[in-house]
Amino acid sequence: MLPYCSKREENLKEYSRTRFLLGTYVTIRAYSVFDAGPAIRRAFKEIERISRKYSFEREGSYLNNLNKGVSELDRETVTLLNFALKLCNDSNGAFDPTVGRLKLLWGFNKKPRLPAPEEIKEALKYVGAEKLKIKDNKFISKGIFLDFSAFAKGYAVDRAGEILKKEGINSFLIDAGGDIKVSGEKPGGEAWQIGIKNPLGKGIIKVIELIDGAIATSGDYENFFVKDGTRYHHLLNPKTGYPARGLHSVSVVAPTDMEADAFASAVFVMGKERAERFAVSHKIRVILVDDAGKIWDFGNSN
Amino acid sequence: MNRREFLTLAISALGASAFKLRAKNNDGSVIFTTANPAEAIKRLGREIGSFKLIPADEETRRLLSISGGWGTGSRAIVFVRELESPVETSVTFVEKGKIKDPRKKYSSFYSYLSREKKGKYLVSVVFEGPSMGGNRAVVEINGRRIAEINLKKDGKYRYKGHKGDMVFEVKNGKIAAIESSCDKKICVHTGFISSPHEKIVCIPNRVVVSIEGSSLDGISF
Repeated sequence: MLPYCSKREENLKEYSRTRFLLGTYVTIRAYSVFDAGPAIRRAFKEIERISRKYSFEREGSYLNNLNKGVSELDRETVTLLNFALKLCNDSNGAFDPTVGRLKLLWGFNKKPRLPAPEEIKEALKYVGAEKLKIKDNKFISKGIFLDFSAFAKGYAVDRAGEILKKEGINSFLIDAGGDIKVSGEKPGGEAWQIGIKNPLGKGIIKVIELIDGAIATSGDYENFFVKDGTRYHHLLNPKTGYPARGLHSVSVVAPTDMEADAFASAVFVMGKERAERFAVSHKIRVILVDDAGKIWDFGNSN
Repeated sequence: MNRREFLTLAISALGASAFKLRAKNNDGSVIFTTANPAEAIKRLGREIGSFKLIPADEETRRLLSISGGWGTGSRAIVFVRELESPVETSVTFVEKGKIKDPRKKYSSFYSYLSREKKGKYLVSVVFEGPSMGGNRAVVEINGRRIAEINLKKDGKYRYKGHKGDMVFEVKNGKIAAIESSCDKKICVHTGFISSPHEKIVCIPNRVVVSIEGSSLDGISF
């Protein structure tokens, strides 16, 4: 393992690779004195593995087999599930990993449609972390679908980062379609500059400086459809079954991308009023853009 | 175009009487007032190009309060802030002191202004400073950089993406996807971009067009 030292700047080379994974563009940018190519390849392989394992759309993915009661819970999934259940508790159900049934109904990943109220009421019967039943390490709660898509991308990015670090690369940035994890400073001692996209038009609303950490954003402007003048986006409230209202985007700066990703989804549903308390209790920074277009910045110790 | 050139242009395009310099702020932005915003915007627009619609944020409100123009009388506010990208102007809609989401209300800024009554209006003209190289667009297909397009020359470009063809048009220093073989046409709906923070992305075609010269390492969205 080669320690990162600023005196080595002259020997530092920039490696940048982009692949289409997790349904988006994933870029890994690293600074290294040795060839970072192999390490970056291994990091992408790990992202691919996680993407396939926890894919909600892919028939026969581990997650789908788990939901059918066919596969057993493994250690990795137990860790993710525990994280999700704790957040479910902390957010009072605003974040719930059992939203699978609801997501299938709205069809955001394939063909989005506005479900009838009766359909939503029916789907909600199968949503609720408290309804999960496990026996002999398998799920026996029929019809309840675990869905990790709210934080699987962040998790994959974290794992890729761990692989880069294990291979001796300490200065890098991983960008998976806006879910970003950075480590170490850029050559010259600079922090990584990350812009938060304006959810209501073009441009950037804020620039975040990161040296070690992650940022992720949940917004109503990427995946949505409009019907009869109303915009329906993909960030569903697990309690009402409908898209959460009140905010246009939530960006979270946290130590890991899994937390940033999950917390951003949770806060989007929790809303502005509960966001500040959540930011303080979880020691994270939360940047929101509300319905009126106003920008809020909570938990910012600066 | 740099700041000095822009201010000279703004003042000459609108006439000394139409624009009154109200305040010069710490960040270098300048606020003007005009009695006829529709005319002012039209003439400025002809020189600078299209306007972006953005919501007002903390900074915007601060600038407004400094200039003393906020209130029920204020209608249209044009904001220009010193950032590192080519000259652009941004527009915020304010009605009875409340910021309106421009996307929801008006498809065209001109149609909004033409409906409003004439009166005393606050028009803040903010410009974005010297370009950090926003003169080239970079086209990446499947993660590989395959072309660099000079934005100073108008023209059309056709590329073969993963699903089929895509056509881009360069006009007035900006670039947009005008045709695409994808289903949803999200890339086409993005419209013209010219700023280093902006991108046109077509996922089915695996095409990304970005403007060179960005000072940011990434954008979270």
